[in-house]
Amino acid sequence: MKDPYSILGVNHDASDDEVKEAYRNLVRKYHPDNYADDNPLKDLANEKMQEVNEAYDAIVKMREDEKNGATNNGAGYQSSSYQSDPRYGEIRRLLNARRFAEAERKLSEFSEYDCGAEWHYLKSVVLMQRGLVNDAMRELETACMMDPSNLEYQKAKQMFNGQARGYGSTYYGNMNSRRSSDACDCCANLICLDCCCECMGGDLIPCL
Amino acid sequence: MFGFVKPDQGMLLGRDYAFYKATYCGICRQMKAHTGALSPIFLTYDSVFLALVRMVFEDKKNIGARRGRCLAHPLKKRAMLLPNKATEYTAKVFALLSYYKMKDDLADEGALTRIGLAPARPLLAHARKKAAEYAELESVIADRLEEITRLEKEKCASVDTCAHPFGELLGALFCHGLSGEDAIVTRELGYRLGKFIYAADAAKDYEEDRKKGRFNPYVLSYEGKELTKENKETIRTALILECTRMEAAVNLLDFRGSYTLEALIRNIIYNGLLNQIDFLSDAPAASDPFDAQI
Repeated sequence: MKDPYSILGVNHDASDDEVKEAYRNLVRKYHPDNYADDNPLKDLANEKMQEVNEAYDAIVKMREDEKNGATNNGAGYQSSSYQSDPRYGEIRRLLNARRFAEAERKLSEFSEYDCGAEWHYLKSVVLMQRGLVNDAMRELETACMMDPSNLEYQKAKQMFNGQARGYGSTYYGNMNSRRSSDACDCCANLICLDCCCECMGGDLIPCL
Repeated sequence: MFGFVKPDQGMLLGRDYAFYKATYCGICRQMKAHTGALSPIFLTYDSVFLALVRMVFEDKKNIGARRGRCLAHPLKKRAMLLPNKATEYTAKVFALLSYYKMKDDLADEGALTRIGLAPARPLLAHARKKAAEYAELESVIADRLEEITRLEKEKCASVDTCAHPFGELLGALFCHGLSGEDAIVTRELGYRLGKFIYAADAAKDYEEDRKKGRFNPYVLSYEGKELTKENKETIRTALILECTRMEAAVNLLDFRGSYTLEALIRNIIYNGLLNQIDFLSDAPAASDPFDAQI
């Protein structure tokens, strides 16, 4: 089966709302009401509709599993007394209450040997809050490296990577600034290329 | 650390790029007028960004251009901005900055660069005297550069801590003489830019510093290992997050309908700065017209 995200035309890091929005737009497009019974495209539209529905269901299911997995994982982590430290719970409470300075103080009380993946993760949350982005990303990377299977850390990392990818897109709109190109881009590039060729005496697009 | 802040010409309208070049020439003119005939040898693209940001606060009727010749390009007449407060300020401040930068370089590099750079010294001392009206800024510059040297001697492994004084330095340059909200916004803009430049520059020198055993906070942080693809992505993401904070400041600037200034400033922070950190990513360079994605 094709990647459900590419069927809906959204990024992997799109929010739930964005996925829903994309899904609705596609449903409107392929809806049976748009195709009368004698329309030769009816079957094709139906097929598309089915594909879109399946993709949407798949994404919803995937995301739910992920959420459950994260909580299960978290719970398992808490209950197995091995490696779990009650101080982390306290720090998380402080972070939720946005009392970052206290949380940071508590983190600094850990001895070097106690600093597990979770310590690095919580430290990155505090640093990010203080705008120390470089150190925060370094701590997050360490947390992900020490505990690669932890979904919470991975998710945080993906979120920041997503933010970085979207940088500048509000100004450039859907052109998404750099890495993706659409028809307009392509056209502009060709014109540019044509100009370059003409400078050198050649011609890429004779009619321009 | 000079030469980091440039536009991406391919993503600019012709008229906006023409304005950029005219600003460059305008600053050069101001340097000749205020800090000595030879001081433009220290002119860099970075200074244009400062002038652009300061021009946002300039009365629009003071921004004009003319065509003229200059010694460096005698054959063709070029557009250059007429003197305005923003370019004058930029010219003087960069003379100061060049003086301290050179003093700094002379202090910690070996004898070879000392000989190479020494002849330029009286020139800069002269420029510095001409810019004497910014005594307050001068003490900030000297103080922050000292702070950077101190952190380097202490072998500080935190990139943010090392980058902080340089951020403060640029923050002070950007907001000097402005007041109220304008000062807060430009200080943050300069601060984030300074941190970005310091960190990006350190990331760029990673391999070289690692081999030569020179100080570099990234090398200490990654314990001198070779950077993996993931490491590079982490560094790149962090640098772009720094840019998003800069963007937040730019969003609060009141451009008062000056599309050209806005287009240039945004082009520099979105495309220009990212081009500088392309070495951290595997994707093709944005400025490459033969981008594989056509």
